[in-house]
Amino acid sequence: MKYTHDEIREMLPDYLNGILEKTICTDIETHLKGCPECKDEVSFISELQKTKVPEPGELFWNTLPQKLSRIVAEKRQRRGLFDWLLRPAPAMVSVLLFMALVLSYLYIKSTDTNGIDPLFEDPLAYSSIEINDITEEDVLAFLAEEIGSESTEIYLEDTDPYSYYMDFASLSSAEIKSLYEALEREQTKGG
Amino acid sequence: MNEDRELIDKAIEGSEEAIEALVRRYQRMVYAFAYRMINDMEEAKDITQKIFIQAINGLKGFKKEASFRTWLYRIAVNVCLNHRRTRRNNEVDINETITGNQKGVLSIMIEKERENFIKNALEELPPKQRLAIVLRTYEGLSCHEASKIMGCTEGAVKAHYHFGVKKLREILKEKGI
Repeated sequence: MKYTHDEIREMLPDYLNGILEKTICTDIETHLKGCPECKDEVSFISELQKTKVPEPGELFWNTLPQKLSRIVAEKRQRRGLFDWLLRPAPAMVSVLLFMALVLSYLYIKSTDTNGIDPLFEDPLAYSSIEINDITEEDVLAFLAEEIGSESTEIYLEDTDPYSYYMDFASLSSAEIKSLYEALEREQTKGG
Repeated sequence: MNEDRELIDKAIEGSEEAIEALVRRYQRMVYAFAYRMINDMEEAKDITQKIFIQAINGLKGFKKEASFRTWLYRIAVNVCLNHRRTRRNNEVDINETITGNQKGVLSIMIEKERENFIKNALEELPPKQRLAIVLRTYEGLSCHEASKIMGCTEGAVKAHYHFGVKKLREILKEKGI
């Protein structure tokens, strides 16, 4: 005997389905004659195979192919509108075109000065400016020169060392409190 | 095999005739498998449709050196197992109409009852054991083919089949069959 008991047992479904060679079938049949366990297994599998699949009817078989091809065709048609975007070459071209547009827009935006003169005619000169050397008067003079015109006024109150803001800033918290109370009294009793 | 490949090429190009021919060729196999896995005729019909739609939409991904039948079975296995996972109502339809008048009504009823017991017992098995039994016993596939479909080794298929049959026998024994 070529095959062991376990090997034959494993081949039993194939034997019952008729997919084995004739010589193997003969070996199995010889084994079955002397092995009640395998014989029992064969009858059990045969019993299982007896369970039938209910027939859905000719209408189902006849209509299913057309129904499926129609569903697939409709789906393809719907997808067809944007399908070209899914192909690698057009998708790549679209992305590159979009990137070129964005980059050119950013470049134009960065170079467009809308007629305003650059602050420094010589950009290299910028590095030679020492920030520590710049005084408040220099800033004000620069602003007056650059922005100043007949219609523009520069308010220098905030920078005036004698403005009333500076007076308030020098007050202590107790003084501010008493000032606040005095103002409130004035408001309730009338000026 | 070659005919399958020709039909697949044409189906990919969009030929409706090729799609219909492919469906016609495999519809009975797919339906029988779906029924064995789902155990409900109406659901099996819907599942059959679903399997074919998935297969046709995925034809571009099919490797032509592989067997179309095995590939289709793999899709069927995935669809059926997903369906079983999501199915809420596990009741088995026992009201199928009895047809045929050659045998006596009583013997037909006994046979039907027996069939229902076996179907219900199959339902109780873990999915992989059930799948191994369906593929080996009902679909007549070899261990090698079943392993390709189930995505496991031949040894694993043998083990699932062996334990499945053992458990099935125990269940039927408990029910007195």
